[in-house]
Amino acid sequence: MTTPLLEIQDLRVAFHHRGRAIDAVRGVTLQLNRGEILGIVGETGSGKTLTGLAMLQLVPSPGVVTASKLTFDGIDLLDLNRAGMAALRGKRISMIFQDPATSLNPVYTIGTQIDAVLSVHTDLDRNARREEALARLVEVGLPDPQRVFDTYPHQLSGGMQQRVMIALALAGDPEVLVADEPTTALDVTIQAQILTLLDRLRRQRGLAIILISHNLGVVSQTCDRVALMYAGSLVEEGKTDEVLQTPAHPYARALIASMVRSGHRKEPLKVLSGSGPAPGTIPTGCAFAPRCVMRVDRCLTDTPELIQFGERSVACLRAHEELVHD
Amino acid sequence: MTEELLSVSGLIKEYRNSSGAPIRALDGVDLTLSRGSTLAVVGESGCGKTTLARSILGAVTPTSGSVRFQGEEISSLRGSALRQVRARLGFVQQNPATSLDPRMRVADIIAEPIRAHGLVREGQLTQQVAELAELVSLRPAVLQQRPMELSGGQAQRVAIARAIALRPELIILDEPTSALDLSVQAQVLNLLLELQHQLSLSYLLISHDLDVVEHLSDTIAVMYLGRIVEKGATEELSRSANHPYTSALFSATPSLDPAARRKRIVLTGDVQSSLLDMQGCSFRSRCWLWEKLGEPAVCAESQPLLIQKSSEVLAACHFSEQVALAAPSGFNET
Amino acid sequence: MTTSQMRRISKGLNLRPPRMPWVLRALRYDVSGMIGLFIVAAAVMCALFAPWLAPHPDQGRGVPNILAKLQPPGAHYLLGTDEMGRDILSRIIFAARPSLLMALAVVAIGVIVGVPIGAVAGYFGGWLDEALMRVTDIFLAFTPLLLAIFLASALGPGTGSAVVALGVSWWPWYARLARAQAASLRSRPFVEAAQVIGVRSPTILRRHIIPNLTSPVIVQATLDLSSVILVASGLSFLGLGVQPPTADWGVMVSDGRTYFLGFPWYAAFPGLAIIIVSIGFVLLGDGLRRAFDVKPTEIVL
Repeated sequence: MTTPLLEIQDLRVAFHHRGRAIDAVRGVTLQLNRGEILGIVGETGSGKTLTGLAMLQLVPSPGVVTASKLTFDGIDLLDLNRAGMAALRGKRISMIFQDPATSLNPVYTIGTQIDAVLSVHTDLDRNARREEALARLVEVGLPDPQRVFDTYPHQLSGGMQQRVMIALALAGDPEVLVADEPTTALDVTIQAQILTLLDRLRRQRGLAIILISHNLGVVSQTCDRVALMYAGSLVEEGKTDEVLQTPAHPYARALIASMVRSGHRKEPLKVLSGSGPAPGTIPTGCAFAPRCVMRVDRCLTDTPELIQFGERSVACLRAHEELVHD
Repeated sequence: MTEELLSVSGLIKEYRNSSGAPIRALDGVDLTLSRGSTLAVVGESGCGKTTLARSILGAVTPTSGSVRFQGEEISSLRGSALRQVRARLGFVQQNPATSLDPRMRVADIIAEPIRAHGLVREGQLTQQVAELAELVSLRPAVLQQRPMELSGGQAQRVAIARAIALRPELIILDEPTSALDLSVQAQVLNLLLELQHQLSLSYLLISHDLDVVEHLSDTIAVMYLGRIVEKGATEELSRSANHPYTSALFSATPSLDPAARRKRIVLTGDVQSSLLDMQGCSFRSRCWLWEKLGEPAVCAESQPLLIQKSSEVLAACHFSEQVALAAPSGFNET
Repeated sequence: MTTSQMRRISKGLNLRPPRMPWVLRALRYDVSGMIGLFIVAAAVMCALFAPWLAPHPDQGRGVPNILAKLQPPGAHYLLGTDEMGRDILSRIIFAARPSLLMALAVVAIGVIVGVPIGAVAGYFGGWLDEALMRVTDIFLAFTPLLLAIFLASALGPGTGSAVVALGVSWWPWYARLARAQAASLRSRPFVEAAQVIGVRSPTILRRHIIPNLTSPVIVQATLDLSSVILVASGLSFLGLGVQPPTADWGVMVSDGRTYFLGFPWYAAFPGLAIIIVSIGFVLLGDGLRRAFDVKPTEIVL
């Protein structure tokens, strides 16, 4: 079996702000294999964005990243200095963000921006770079790449801007792409286009993708595996269809059960009561316990570890009962 | 037969773009909403649904056309006549973080409509506000807090309490759950359904989320570039569309069902590309059906009219019967 | 509990809290802001409790003490004495009151006149906005100094005419600030919600627009206090502000000027007082601005 491309063990991100420590990511263990699309799903405050940022060592200060293992293709990311990490970013691991309008520099043309990336990561001369840039724009499905090359970001629609972002991210020919809510700001038909594009790129380039999202539908449609986060911890992980059709963790079950389903128009939905803890105010024991229908006494004192059951992992003290039962 | 609660006809709203050319945000919209029911207006950016909502609320004056509410023409009202009508309309906005004044206490936010129309003496106000809080399941302690201290779900409930404060007959909901976390959406949707039942409310739901639309609405109107391209009963529309845009929308909505995955229609281009092409049907340049049928000439010649296709549905397409047949079958099974 | 409630960033509510106690707590970690607060507090204490704080209160008030005239700083007169033998430290302490009062009065005029004008202009837009802004522009053209000289010659020199002159020159800045804020607030969803509810415009201005303007106005006012103290000192230096025997720092620097070569402490110490208090207000204002701003960590999470 091939070694995973990205290996993360016990990732923690903490912010020390004004004398208080806020643990935003509390021990996440994941891996990404070549050519795989892994979804990281969670609601606001789950820590999913920071997990993605940590993979590129882009966590803003005063955030501190620690892990027992954080390697990319065998390279220890925690050990790298700034120059080392900068060499990796864009060249081997890349990232795209939610709002393309704010991620693109408004005062430079698209062509200039792609050229900038290419000049950092390749040795091509000016003309070769232009050819390469146009090829990238074609690859992401932009019609009339010559024209797009000379336009400014604000002249493009949201969907086209996101395609440009993807082109920029792939300019250095990376092996991993971290996509943080890439379609949240887009219309649903444009979203379908972008997700189809990502899948095509995965197949054509052997690209591995981490898709961070709060939209279970998007994840269901695109990802091979999914990891669900709650209050900074990983609560369930496994093959997408398995996790979403037969969730094991009580949070996953409650969340999926509360979703709108066709064929039950106007019927009351099953509600997951209460609300998640704010970062920094997480109680002892299991973070989900206060809202959990399966809670028992020890859930308030013991912190659940991630336990593996074949291809699935669940972090619940009563996990055995769940999966054996299923 | 009694007149419908809300009836919009021939509504046109024209703007001028930077080069002076006219752009129609609304290009002849006809809709009706019956008492006690929910009409959803769906579409993507640039379709005109927001302009439509604003025209009904009086925030935007239409270029021409009529909006009749409770039997009264409201599209040209100004000043105090408009204020009177506004007392009978409720409005819930998308993001509760920005739709509530951060400096006001929840109790004052909910009381604002009542105070604005001077309907109740200060003494009785406390009781009314307490009743409203209870209707939306807000604990009394929340009344003294400020929006920043509330969770997303609580804040949206405050917005809903404010919208029903004067017991309006019609509430306009602009993407009421889009800004909320998944686990909270169910709470708010349940509340909206319950209130509709309890207070005999009618809803005009503006949304791009087809799952929510299917769940809440009785009728759906699908808009594209300022026109309604299809409208009819939710049940029927979701089972089989009569306009290629409708079927594309439903198909593009991601679902958890693995079976739905294989059958996606992916449109090419975007709204911008449609604008460049003003001859004939405004959807043509992105229309998958037009391609599939070998690019029939009629689509480039005339804009299809919105006509009755079945007892429950109207659609604006020259080939609407083909839509259900040609589309990948069975999106959103019941 | 309130602190962590306020950190409910995970719910995506990212609003600036309006309460002062939060601001003071936030300032606690802001060193320069605290220094500013300290300095300003010290100046305010001097203004309020001069008779008890000054080592020689009578001299501070202006009672001469000729025998001790022009003494250098020493054990008895910590900062030396002036040409009338009065303790300079005491004079500086007593001078805090007129200096601060003048500064406060000017800024108050600026805010009370400027903010409503700007808010109305920004909220309504259109011809009202144009008209009000042109009026504002006219007043912007007046330089404080020229206006002060003109008013002094018309009404007689004194604190009153100085305050009026400065106030008239200052309010346009607040009008502009308020207008920009009001124009941006006008399109915010909660203002739109109020309009749709049917709230009347004056009420919207009073309950929604103006209260949400206060943060930038407070920051600007604090920074302006610093500027006004400098300009007011300048006016007093020219003899257009405070009249003897009342002391304010500007007058003291002016009087000390004549004796500067032999007895530098006379002008230096009041000058230092002006600088330090000015800096204090600037540091405090910057600290307040930082405290009112949204924290970056909240956005990230």
